[in-house]
Amino acid sequence: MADVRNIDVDYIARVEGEGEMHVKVVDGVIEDVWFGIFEPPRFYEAFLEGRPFSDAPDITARICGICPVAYQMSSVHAMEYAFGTSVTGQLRSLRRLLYCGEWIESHILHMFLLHAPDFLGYESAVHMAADHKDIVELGLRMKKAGNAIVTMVGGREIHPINVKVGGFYRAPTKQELLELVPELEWSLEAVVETIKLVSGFTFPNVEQDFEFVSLSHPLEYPFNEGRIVSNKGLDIAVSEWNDYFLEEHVERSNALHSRVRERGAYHVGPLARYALNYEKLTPACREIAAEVGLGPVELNPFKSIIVRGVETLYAIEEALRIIDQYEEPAKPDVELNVHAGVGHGASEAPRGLLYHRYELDSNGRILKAQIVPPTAQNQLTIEDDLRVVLEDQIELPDEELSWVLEQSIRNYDPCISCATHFLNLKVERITTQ
Amino acid sequence: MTDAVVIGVGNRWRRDDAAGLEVIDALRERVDDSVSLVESDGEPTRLLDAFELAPRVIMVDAVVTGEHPAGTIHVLTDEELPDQMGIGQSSHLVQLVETIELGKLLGRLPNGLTLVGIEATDFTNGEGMTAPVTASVGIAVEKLLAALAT
Repeated sequence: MADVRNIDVDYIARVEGEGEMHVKVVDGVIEDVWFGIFEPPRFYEAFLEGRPFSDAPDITARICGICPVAYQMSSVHAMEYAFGTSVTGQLRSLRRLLYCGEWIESHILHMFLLHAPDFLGYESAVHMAADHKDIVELGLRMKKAGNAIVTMVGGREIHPINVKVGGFYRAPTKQELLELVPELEWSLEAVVETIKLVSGFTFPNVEQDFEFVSLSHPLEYPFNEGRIVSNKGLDIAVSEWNDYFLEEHVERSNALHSRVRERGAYHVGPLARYALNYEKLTPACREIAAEVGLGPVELNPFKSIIVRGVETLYAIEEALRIIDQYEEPAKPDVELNVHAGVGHGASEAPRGLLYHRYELDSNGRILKAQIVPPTAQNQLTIEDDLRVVLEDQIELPDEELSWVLEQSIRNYDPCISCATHFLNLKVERITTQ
Repeated sequence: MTDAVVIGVGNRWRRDDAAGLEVIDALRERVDDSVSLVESDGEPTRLLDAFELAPRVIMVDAVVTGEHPAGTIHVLTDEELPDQMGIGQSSHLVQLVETIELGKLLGRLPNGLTLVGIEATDFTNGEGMTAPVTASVGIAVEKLLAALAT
């Protein structure tokens, strides 16, 4: 007799896309694990064709409400690469500052409202807030400090409009940036408290031999620039992305899955950045990491919540450092020598490496666009994780199993919403006798 | 006009989902300083901040009940919102109804909230709303202006 149990979640009020997980267990044996996302970058790639290069930062910023800065940064770097220009000095620092704001916002949102409820056993942030109002308020205040950076440097809170190829439309004054300092200084302590709090959670004992991939810069923890490196020997220029990585169509998903051509699944995001750039973290970051029991490499994806905390501390420290050293530049942008070419750009979105490639004609019109978001790159790794977690916890009843599987997807802070808000969840168990 | 904040929620690149934002655009030239207008992509913490801008909070969003013709305008108080707690199961975002609940729990909606929902059908990628939703945006704007005048 076949026993099929389904848990379906299908709720539509605001739709930006869809995500779905399907797990099939037959007589206690895992037959199929699938995590699918339906995301819009393909639409945006087509939409960009025929438009001027200068449209790319504003249009791609709309792909995601949570990480618009990442899309802007990867696109402007790609265009500047094509034109043989680079943005240096205070303008470069301002870009890093803007990215700090986005990391703070995105990491705090994920840690407090999405991931912490999983660990504390609450169905949602609302249920958690009922018992832990002070924790939620702590998170909201820190997030606001990140918002304030994005509003000040980016021009407005959502889909910032101040970023352009070659720099900014307007550079903030020193005084404007100094106004951000008190809340950032308050956040320094608040985030350390947060790191201690989340490191006390109970973590499933799951590890994988990941291929971590991230940018690596000789002098700094990476946001905008560097080579693409991995812990399995990859060390390439951003422009070589397509030579070493492959995007392929997978049945049941309209998102392309990425793999390292020679090996397969890989992992981008906080755990990868942390493992590959540990030495570039500040002493305070390394100190708190050690205090809460993180080594220089962390292989348990559930502990990504702690690493997000450490990266948030880094972003706050880096923001304060940049503001301290800031001097208003004479000009908010650099001259561009527009010509035909191919541009590549990669930057570190909060959830991992984001690669853009553009082909441009002699007027700087976009002939072809390629956008590879971090979640598409993590898709195979997320499925591998689900398999490992399933094998470990297969005896759990459906409800608890769904919980831990969803939690393991959340380890990646998936940007299915760049595309999506909704996860349709289906667990199917078949007993054939 | 009375002190109020009108929050339009949506995504301009997902056709009918732009309805809430289009309402905000239309209101811009027609309200005085007592009314704050906020565009939102649904991100919960910024919504929580927006709730604090005025004692009276009105939210406008595209909705799908599937039970009413496209363009139907629903007006609900927060008390009338369906109990959708825990069924969103989003791996990425906190749902709108959850955010409203969160706002109430954190004391940021002392007078509750009014939701103006426009029944929508087309959420595919691209710009431009369907005809019934476009028509209803205009009607919703007039209704809101009448409500804000009281």
